[in-house]
Amino acid sequence: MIAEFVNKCEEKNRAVKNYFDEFCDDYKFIREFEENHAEYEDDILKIEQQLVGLESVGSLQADLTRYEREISKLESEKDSLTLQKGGFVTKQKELEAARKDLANKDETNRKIEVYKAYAQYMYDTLSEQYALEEAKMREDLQSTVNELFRNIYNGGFSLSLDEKYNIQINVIDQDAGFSEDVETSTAQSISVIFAFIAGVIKMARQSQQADNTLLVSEPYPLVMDAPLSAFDKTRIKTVCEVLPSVAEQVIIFIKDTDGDLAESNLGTKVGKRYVFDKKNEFEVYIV
Amino acid sequence: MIFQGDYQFKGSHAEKVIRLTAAFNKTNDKLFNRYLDVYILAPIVGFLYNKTAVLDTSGKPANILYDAMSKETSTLWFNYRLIMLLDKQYEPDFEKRVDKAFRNYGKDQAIPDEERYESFVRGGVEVLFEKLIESSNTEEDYLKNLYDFMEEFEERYGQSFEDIVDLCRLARN
Repeated sequence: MIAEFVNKCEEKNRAVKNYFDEFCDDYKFIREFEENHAEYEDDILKIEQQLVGLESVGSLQADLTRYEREISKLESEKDSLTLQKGGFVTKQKELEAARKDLANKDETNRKIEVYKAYAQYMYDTLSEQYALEEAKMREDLQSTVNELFRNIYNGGFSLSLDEKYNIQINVIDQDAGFSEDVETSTAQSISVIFAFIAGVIKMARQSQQADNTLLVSEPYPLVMDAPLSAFDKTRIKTVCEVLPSVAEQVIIFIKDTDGDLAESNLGTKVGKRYVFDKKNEFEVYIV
Repeated sequence: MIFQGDYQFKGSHAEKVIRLTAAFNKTNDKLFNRYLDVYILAPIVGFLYNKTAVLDTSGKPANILYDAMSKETSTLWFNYRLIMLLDKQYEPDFEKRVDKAFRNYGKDQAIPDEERYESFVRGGVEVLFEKLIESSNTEEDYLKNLYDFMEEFEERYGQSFEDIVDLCRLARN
């Protein structure tokens, strides 16, 4: 009986040798499972919260599939069209070559081709020259206009011309806090216009005297309607000084109030005086 | 005589045994499947924690039928003998302890021994209840308390494998 008991002791002792380790493994497994489980539940909750308020995904999914099909259809259509286009381009080149061949075979056509080449060459040369001259002239015009503008307006502005002869007014004193392209008052605008017109005329006169035969112009009379109305007395004085010195002939239409001022400033430079005698809206006589 | 008929946990111990064998989660997991399983383990725990408890007959009992117990008698007797052999507090004399384990068992003179054994059963039930159930509220608590208990057990007794092998060899010779 004792031997049996001892055997049983040994047997049980062996049986439990790794019992705790195995138990630990199981416990660890359960804990990990629970942790993962909790994490997944958390994730599910988050996803569910994101899904709240979303439209049913089913119809969106169906739309998506349809669009994707449409895209792939259009893509393949595009591919086949690109292929066709390549074919057409090649064909066009062939046909152009063929046309050239045919044109050269005919004497008249050949001559025209030659003339066309000359014309093209001349056009290119002249364009180039023109662009150069134009840029130079624009620069000259800009500096002339600026000079005149300073005489007339004597403010803190400078002018610049862009390629399309639009005038931009810049503040010279950048520290004053203004950016480029200032919005001008009426008098400022008219000053600019004066300066521009006077500049054009001055340059026209100069070009008449210049040796440069590429640009020839004749001086035109400067005709103006009520040019002084917008200015104060000081400006009127400067304008009256500048205009005659620039233009060969100035014709101004003026009303009586400004007329007296102009008379006193222009005085000796006035060649002829005429008065409009208005009978009615459609009938005026020059006295 | 012990292990020869139906067994009854009584009073507070019956309640504790019922709790020890109750499902602690929704998937119906239990710490002990049957009352019998508590009955097998409790005396060892009671002895190792040196915990005895007096009989309490109040309330409803928890029954173990002999039919089920009869299949586990060899384990039960093994535990009984083990405790009789090791309980120096109860019987300091080694020879007498051997007698209790292998000679007197099942006889009339063994009745106080059986009562000693039963008090360890009740004490063990109390220890198991205190360690595993009392502070458990959630499913996680049950697992954690089980683990803590197992770890404590392992720390106390888990390192004695080689000693037991040596002892067994000694006993043979």
